[in-house]
Amino acid sequence: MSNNEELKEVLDTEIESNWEEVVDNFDNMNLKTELLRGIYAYGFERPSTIQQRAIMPVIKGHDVIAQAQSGTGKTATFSISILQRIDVTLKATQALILAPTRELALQIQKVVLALGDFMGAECHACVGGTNVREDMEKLRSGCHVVVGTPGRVYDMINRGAFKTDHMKMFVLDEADEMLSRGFREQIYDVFQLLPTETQVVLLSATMPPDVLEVTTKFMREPVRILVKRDELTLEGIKQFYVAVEKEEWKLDTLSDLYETVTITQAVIFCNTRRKVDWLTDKLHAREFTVSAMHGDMSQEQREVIMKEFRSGSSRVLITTDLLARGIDVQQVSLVINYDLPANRENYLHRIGRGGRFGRKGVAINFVTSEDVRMLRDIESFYNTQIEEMPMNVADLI
Amino acid sequence: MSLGEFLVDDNSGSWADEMADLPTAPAASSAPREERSGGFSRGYGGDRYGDNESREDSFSRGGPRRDDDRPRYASRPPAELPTEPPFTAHIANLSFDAVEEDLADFFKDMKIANIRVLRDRETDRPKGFGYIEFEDLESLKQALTLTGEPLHQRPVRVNIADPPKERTDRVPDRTETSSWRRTTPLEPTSPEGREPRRGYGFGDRDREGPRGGFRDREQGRGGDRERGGYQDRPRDNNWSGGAFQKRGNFGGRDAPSERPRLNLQPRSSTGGAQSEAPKSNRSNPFGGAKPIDSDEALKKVDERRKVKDQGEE
Repeated sequence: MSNNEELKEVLDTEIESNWEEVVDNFDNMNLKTELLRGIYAYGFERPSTIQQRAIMPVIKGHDVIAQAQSGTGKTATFSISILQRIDVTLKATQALILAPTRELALQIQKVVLALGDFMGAECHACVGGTNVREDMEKLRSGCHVVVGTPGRVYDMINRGAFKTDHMKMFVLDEADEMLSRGFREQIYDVFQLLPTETQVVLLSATMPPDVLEVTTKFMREPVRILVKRDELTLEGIKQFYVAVEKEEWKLDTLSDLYETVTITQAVIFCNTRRKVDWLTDKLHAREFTVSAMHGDMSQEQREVIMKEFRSGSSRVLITTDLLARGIDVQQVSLVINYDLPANRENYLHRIGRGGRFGRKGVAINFVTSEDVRMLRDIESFYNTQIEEMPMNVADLI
Repeated sequence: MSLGEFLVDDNSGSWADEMADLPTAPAASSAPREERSGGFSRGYGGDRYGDNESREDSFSRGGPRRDDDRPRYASRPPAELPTEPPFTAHIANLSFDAVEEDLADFFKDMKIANIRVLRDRETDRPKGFGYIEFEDLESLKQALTLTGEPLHQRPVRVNIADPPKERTDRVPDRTETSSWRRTTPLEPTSPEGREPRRGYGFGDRDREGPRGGFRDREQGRGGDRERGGYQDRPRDNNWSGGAFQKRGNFGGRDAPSERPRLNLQPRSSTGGAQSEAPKSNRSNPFGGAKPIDSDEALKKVDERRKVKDQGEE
């Protein structure tokens, strides 16, 4: 089909890769029958671009750095690859996935379980804030795949509850975050507890150069699938700004927008936990229904809030960058940056909470006069357009 | 004008605006102690409430705190001129409106390497002080002579910045090795586990303890600015590159003092339908994939696990 060929040509110029193979059908990936059943039962029909390109090299055992736009199927990419690589008859942990937040780890666990349902794959979530004893018991019972946050995982390996002798694969989701200053040492420490030969897979929507540099310390001739940064924003996510002029005007501006916000599910990002609390209080005082979540809350609280938001019983969630990355709530189509994020990467991750897997999304940035430069920088960095919010924005959601 | 009249007079705007516009006393260059104690105060600064005879109505009548009320700090000897880079000046008593461009302008005759105006983390408003790094000692010396000169009607104070602190507490970063992978095979694990490496306790830590910095990090706090900031991506065109650009006119400083209400249109009956984006020649990251609804599959997994967990108990 000439149409397909054209598409491929465009793709080739916009993805930088040293791996040529593209498989555009799950049936042609030589996957286990039970895994294939799981994939179709999950709802997938055809693989997305990253899935077409990255699953095969991972299955073949290469170290892989895979970059793809937010919400285009990275979680399923590594989950499918892991499930293909593990031996379910061996009751030992063969793959470890690390993620930056507990919420993301728990979400990944569900995806692995769903895709591996017919294979009988066991996947345990090993995250902080949960009961240590239960965690240890669960790990001792033997799970094929462990997904967790670095602190608890390191702890469990050290205590001997989590055995890494049969580990084949080590996956870092949100890799640039995991290799940033805050996590880097922890990842190094985990590396020290894994077999030398472990395959390493990194994924993220953003792969800044300094991160790619660190990867040379542990990746062996990696297959690289990278996206040029001016291709990273999604066309389905419309980006707008509202000139609020002063910080003090943001609250009233948000109030004006409230009706629009509640058309769909929405996430509102602030830059600090304190501000999340402050904004939540202010909105409650105005009798707007919103919920809030940040890292100062207990794990139980966090789980309840997430559950309510995922089920749709709460529709507007105010949060910090805790939820900037990875979190997939399909009904979210509006993201508001009450504050612009502290770095360019998180801008992309935040707006990617809406418009999941080809759906439409709208991102609205509140911009004071001091933020203008930052906004322009984001625009030019990603070669994208952030236009003034039109008054009929409700029709775009 | 009486105070009562003044307070109801809309034309005069916020009192704070007015204060900023008033001429202020010359810099207290002869009184270094005042400088130290007043430098970081906001709004109560001695300079602001200085004896300004031209003011018709004095806020000081109400008795704002005077410098004398505040604790005095032992005076410190002025920092010595650095002999090697960085040649950095501490700039204080700035108007809260003064941003990098204004300082670049103010010190335009000197060779500037970098300008930083400190901002409030919450509001992003300038804090009224900052640092300028100069390319050479001569520029720093020249800058010091500008102390007391007005910028936005406020006498700017220029001092030699304290030299960067030696970080003696810094633990060498173990990730700075050539390879992160083990060089030796794993030792077989005993049932008790491996020797904990940095004193990891066995207690049930509800939140991963601060010890090794081992906790789920909530990004977006200070750490992020430090790391990902718009500033320190070495190879990309970064913020500081644009630091001296003039701002786009986004309303700018003479914006209306009332917030214009957003006159949003209600959702039309076709709401949401009219959004099929015009197709451009950008690549489609979805390939042949269509949006899927995985909620069902995930719910099923959830339910099955619940049943299983109950079976185990």
